Amino acid sequence: MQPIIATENLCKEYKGVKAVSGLTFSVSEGEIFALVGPNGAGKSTTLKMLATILRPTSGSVLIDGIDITAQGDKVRRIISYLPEEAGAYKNLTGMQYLRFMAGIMTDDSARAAAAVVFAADITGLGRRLDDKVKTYSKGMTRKLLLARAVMCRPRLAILDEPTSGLDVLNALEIRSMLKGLAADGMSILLSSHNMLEIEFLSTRMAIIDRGALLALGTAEDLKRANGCANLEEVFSRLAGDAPKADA
Amino acid sequence: MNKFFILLSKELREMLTPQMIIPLVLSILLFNFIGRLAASAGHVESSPQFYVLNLDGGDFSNKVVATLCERGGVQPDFRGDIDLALEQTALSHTKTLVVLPAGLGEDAKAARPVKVQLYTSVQSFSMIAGLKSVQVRSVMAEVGYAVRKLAVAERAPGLDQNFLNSPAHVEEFVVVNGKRAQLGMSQVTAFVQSQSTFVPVILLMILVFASQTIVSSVASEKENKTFETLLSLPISRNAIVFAKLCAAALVALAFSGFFVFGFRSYMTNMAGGASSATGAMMAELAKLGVVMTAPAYLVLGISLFLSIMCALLLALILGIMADDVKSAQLVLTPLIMTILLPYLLVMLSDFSTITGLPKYLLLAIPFTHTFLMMQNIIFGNFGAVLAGIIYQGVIVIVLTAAATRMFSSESVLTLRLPAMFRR
Repeated sequence: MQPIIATENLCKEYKGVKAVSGLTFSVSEGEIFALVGPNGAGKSTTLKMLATILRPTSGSVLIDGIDITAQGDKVRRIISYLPEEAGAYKNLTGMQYLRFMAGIMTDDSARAAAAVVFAADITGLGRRLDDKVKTYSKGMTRKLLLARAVMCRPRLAILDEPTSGLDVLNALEIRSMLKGLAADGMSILLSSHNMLEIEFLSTRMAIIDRGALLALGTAEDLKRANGCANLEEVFSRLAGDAPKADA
Repeated sequence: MNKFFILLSKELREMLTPQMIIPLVLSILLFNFIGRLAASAGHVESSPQFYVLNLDGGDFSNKVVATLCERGGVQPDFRGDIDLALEQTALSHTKTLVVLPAGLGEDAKAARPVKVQLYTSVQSFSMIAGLKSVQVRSVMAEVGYAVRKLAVAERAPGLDQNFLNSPAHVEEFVVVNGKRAQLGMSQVTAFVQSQSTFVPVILLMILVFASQTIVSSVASEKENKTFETLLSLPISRNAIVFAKLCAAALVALAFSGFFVFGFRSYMTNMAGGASSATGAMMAELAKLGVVMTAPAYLVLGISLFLSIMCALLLALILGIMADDVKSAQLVLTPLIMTILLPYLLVMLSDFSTITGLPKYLLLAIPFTHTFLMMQNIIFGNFGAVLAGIIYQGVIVIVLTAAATRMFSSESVLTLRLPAMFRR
């Protein structure tokens, strides 16, 4: 079966600095795959390349068999991307924002209407959806953005720190929702600093530091291979031992 | 609905905020208010009223006063006290006092130049108060006319007064591009200036407003962290560019319409309708070709559209470099300067006197051609009109290619101002 994501020796360089260096991994359909790494490890840069908003310096990425560099327009039709630091249009109400996004993300008006209903339910914002986004708290905005990211049930959702800014209960709710969506066939690529979240959510993970892949596997595989009791220890051992390269 | 129109509708909603609309409406109301205020303060009567203090008291000077009184609005004063008369004058609306000194009649009869004193009570030195000088000159002319009329009647009773007043009837003609019309130079100049002042101001407002609208639109996408999401959506990058361009152009045109209304009202109030041309005068002006016709306005409109596109595309490209709305204003400064420079030159100087490198540098600015368009149309420089429009069209094509290319590449996210210009 063709993987939803297949990267091969993916590199990204900014003004002589290697942000991502030779990343190779693949993600299967319906899988929740996590990128784990310290700040500046290259997680967000990798996600941006996969979301087609940054261009790889070298290497290749196929999303559902489509080359992201040559056919970015096609790739954008099957993915959805939630940046770590994202915002919504402040002068629109929550509902107007969801309608606008649904209208852009699908050509089918019935599907768009269903997506808005689905997203409105996920946000849990109720009547507050009729208020302007500028009146929302950080957590409310994040839930709106998350709902937007999955509302049209994309083949692949790329989520950078999906639960950042959410309180414990909301984060738990979102994690359960993401698991449910993956069970329905949506593939999810996410990044997070929260090891508990990673362990709860992800099928497999890649630990990266300074743009390079340090380890790849399930949480159990990585704990066993490194002789650690939990993922934080694994992360600490791998990231701490990583060679200090040019980043 | 088509994705482009969904995007356009979103852009319009984001641009048309109360923070943007309220200051505009207030400025239009302010223009109207200032115009009305200035009109009421600066109203100059065509037949000014004034006081006449006759210190001569003789036969001749009494006739001068009577002649002046015939035209109305003159208040004679025979009390013989300048201070009392000045007090009266200062309290009155007219503020002007004419004093016919003792001996005026004798001098006139002996054909010696007579002395007449004119007192003007001044309470401010504003521009509007300066308009009173017109009234003073009018009073001087009237007094001179009355003295001359009576002196001639006294010394040369058979002489035709009308001939004396206007011994040579001058018929004035103006020639523009070989076309003649029976008009005064001052009339033609006033008419053309009333148009050529108004149009560049509107052009300037549209260009500056359009640039600011689009640069803020791009910068606020970055500031509000919506840009990355927008770029990852399944809509072509060209559609994003054109939706922003269309929305900014629509908003700029709509706001400029309001501004035209406010400014027109201001100018009309200031002029008090005095400068408006009559039907006969318009016919003569049309003979000269200085009245803008519908095809001329169409050509001006095409040039304006191309200038708006240039300004929008340049602002869009500059906006890409801004991190937020504040730095957007900084990146816009060079563009505003290139709009202001030709505007000021067209308003304050004669472009045809500029030669050499400065001339070519100015012509390289696409906005210059729009500011010069009216002059070129009026003076029949159709080669310059055509060349200007072709040049603007080429610039629009080049800038469109550059903007869409930037939006299609990652430079739309990575291009930034040099560190020294960032906050």
